[in-house]
Amino acid sequence: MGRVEAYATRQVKKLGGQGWQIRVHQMASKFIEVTFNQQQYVVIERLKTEGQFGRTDEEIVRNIFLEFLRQEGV
Amino acid sequence: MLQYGPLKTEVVLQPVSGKALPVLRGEVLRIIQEEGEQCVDFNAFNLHDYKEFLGVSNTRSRNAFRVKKGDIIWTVSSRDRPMFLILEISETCRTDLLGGRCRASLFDRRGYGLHTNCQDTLAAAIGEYDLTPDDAHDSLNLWMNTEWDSVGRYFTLRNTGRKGDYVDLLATIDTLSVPATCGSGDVGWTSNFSLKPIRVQVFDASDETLARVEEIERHNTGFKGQRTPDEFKVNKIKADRELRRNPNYVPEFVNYPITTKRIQIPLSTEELAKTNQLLEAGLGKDVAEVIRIGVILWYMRNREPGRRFR
Repeated sequence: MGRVEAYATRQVKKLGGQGWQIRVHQMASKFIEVTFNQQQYVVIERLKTEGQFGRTDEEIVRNIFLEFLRQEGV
Repeated sequence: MLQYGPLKTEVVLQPVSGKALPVLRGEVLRIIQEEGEQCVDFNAFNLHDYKEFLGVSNTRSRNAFRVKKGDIIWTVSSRDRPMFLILEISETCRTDLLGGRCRASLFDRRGYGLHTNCQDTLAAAIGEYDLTPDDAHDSLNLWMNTEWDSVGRYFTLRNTGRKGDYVDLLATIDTLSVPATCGSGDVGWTSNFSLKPIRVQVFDASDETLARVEEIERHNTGFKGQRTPDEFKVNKIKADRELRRNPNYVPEFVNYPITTKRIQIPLSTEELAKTNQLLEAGLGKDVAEVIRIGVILWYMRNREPGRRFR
């Protein structure tokens, strides 16, 4: 099964470079509005080019942050 | 050890003196302890543009409070280029990037009257190239055994230099290199209460030294901000001393104004709880800030090229 992600709806979506996967998903508890300035946004653009963490701003920020949580051992 | 070219220049600097020596790209400057225990102050300039000189604070922030074998000595931040590579350095050579250089008033204040000092020694040496005392700059200090404590107090300990110790600096650009015997050492631990000579040698470039320079250039040049005067908005060197406002001047700040983009991030209850753990640990002031900091920290740790991250 694909990664469990916090989307509000069930959806079938093509993920960059990973083929079609079914995203099954718990309801998002909360949407957090995160602000990046244009210099910080360069990072998101670079990671978008990599394709490994998603294609949209939301996917990149969310997946990188979850990876950060994992590395922090939280 | 790299094979250097033949010895090109050799001078012994008696206490208390200095010498401005051209050391060209690929050449090696060797500074030797003639007797030991002598602090050496070092200045350097781009031979073709004296406004580009050895950047002590730039070198410090890129390396550490001390430099060691393999470290690059950088020019000032306005140019930000590699200037030297430390090819060799004796274990007993403590380096210092904090002390700047000693000056006469320090000693007069202490009751010694007009005393030898590095500001005046460096100024006397660079005068040979029509540079003024204002052009002497903070030194890269060699064989200067300084320490600091947790509240920032800074002090000098016994000089650890031994006879025959040496430092080899590979020039990565054409330089005017200015070693000087430090003049403070007869009234302090800087040179263990006596002033001694140092020997200075310059070796020609060789295929090996030039290859190392090219390697350094490949990895450390070509970045944004490594500017030449052609890229400066104001690039004419001011000839008079008085400062006057230019009413027609419009500054061009980098990436100004700062703009922002808002991104909505969905988090599950569990993810939010984990984020709150970091919030409570002090990573940010609110959940949004924790996420932003987390993303940038992740990038720094995992993607920044060449970053030394602690």
